[in-house]
Amino acid sequence: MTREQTINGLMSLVLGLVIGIFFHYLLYRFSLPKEPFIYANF
Amino acid sequence: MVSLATQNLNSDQKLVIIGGDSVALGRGQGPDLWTEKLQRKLGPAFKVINLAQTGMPVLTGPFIVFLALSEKYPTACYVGIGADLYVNDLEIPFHGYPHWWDAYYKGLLPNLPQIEASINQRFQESGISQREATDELKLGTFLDSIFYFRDLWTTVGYKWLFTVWTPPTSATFLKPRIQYQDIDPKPYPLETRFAGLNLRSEHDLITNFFGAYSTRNSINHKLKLSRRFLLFFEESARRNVPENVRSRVLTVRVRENPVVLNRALSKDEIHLLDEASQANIQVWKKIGVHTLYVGKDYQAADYLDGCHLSGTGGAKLADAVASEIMELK
Repeated sequence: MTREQTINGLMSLVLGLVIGIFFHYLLYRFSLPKEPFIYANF
Repeated sequence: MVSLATQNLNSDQKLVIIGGDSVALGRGQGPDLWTEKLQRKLGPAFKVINLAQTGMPVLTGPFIVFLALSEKYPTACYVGIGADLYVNDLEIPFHGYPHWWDAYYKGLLPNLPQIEASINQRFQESGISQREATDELKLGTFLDSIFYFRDLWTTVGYKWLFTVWTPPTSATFLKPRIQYQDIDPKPYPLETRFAGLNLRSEHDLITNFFGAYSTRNSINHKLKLSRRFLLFFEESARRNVPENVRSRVLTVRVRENPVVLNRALSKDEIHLLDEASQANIQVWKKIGVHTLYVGKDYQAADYLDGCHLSGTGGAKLADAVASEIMELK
């Protein structure tokens, strides 16, 4: 494996992780209520 | 919540799960919390965990935790404190918290065919927009059962970096949630405690459910309990509390502050409130659930406002609940 291929592989892995984490976080944000109830004042 | 309830639980300890609204939570009691007193009263043979949240009905997230643990811990019991005749179906999310489907897809619930049948039946009978909302909720909780995004990002937000902007945290919203103090008002001295109360808002808070469970007599225009609503409430209670756990469930109703009741409500309204409490007791007893009505003999000093209990009121509640828990099978 050439140096270029290693760098490409690493960059793909990092980018894949970043995109994966972003979508994982997006799922969490989609599931949140409009106003988190713990902050509602009673 | 399930792992929180069973954390450090000894095999010989009986679990007591507390659910319900801000009265159950002990809002305003600070370190003088009523469930701490309940724990001391019951002793080390019991483990009391308070999972109540403001504004919640008797049967919501903490009750689902109880259902999830009811088979594995046959001595566990559930205590729910809330308003009279406050109907809720387990799978309907309150303020966006889909506890039922969350537990369902994560495989935390035992086999509950009766509840599942009633959920399916109501789903078939519901309108298109309700079905779509349910489908979306189910999809979200199903995905969470695979990816666990709620657990991960809630932990991140709690411990390291809070990523959700909210008005109370707007100035420093990235600060982890653990660094923010809980919003818990400090009690005023008794002499001035009720002087500044907004009677209009106390009235509205106490009579919040009148519209649901009462009608007006067409002749004398007096408020009266709706028989149709009582039947609906009974049906809801039956379908949401499985028969095999009813002997381990205790519902508690705490009567509001008598001083505030007399100042904020008319005699008719107070009469209806007491009638609703009696009907509430009768329904729970009829289906075999233990129930307790406290507060008839409480003094003004036992309250922090119209409905929340002070340290002394909390101690009285802890005494009453402890005696009842000892009676549970």
